[in-house]
Amino acid sequence: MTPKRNSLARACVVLAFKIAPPARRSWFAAMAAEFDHVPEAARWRFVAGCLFAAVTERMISPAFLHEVARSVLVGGAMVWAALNIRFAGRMSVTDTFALEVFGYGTALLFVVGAIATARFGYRATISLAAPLIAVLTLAATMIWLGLSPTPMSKLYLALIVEDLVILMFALALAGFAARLTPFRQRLN
Amino acid sequence: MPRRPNISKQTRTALLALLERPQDWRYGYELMELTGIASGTLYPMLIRLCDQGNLEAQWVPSPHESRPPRHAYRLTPSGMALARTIEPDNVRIANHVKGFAL
Repeated sequence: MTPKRNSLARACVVLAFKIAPPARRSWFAAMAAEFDHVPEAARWRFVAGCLFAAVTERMISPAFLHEVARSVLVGGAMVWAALNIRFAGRMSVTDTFALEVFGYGTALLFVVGAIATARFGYRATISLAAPLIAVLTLAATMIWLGLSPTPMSKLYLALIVEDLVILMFALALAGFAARLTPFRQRLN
Repeated sequence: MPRRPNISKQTRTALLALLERPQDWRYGYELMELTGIASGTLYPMLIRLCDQGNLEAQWVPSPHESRPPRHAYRLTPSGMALARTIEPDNVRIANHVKGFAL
């Protein structure tokens, strides 16, 4: 192995060390130390393994998964709020005040949910989404059964079902992410 | 009927390799050569075994003067007990078992 290739391989080992989650860095320091004892012919294979292990450890580290889950929840809620604002804006030119209020109200709830999730974590998502799901399910059932006859009831039902799907996904993701650490510890 | 521990074939290979000389400290590359498991598979496995208390690790000075210290591994008593539950017939040590990861 030429000195240039050797230093490139060493740089990759250092890169693996930097990619690895902080809690696992000592193991990647061990791999870096072992690099000097690996025969030159096998070094690239060893380095590739170091990089693979670093990326894998990073991706399955609870901190990274929590970051991803929280970003999806916060980002998703903000996107959904933006779509509802867009919908409410469109409804404002059609003189359907109730739908406009529904759109802005939903957007406000999702913005509050996003901020609460960013600030307080999954507990906030679960605490907000669970009662909202219950209320929306009740409303959807009433519309479905014709107990609260409204004009455009099918549109209301569709909007509520959309929100329910989004909320259930958020609830499932928050619940899964909250239980992630104990699950991770069971993996071998 | 006692439940068999749910461990991968590669982990069983590594455990059996470590059980061959349970009192000796073994190096990562030495284990790679002995088991045929690639570094990308072996090291995460060693991390898990250490987390579970089946393996202990320490830095040892290199016998070669110009080289840095090495990380060495050996089984803990619980690791030895776990390794002894493995049936060696199902696992072949040395260059037959390759890790998925490089």
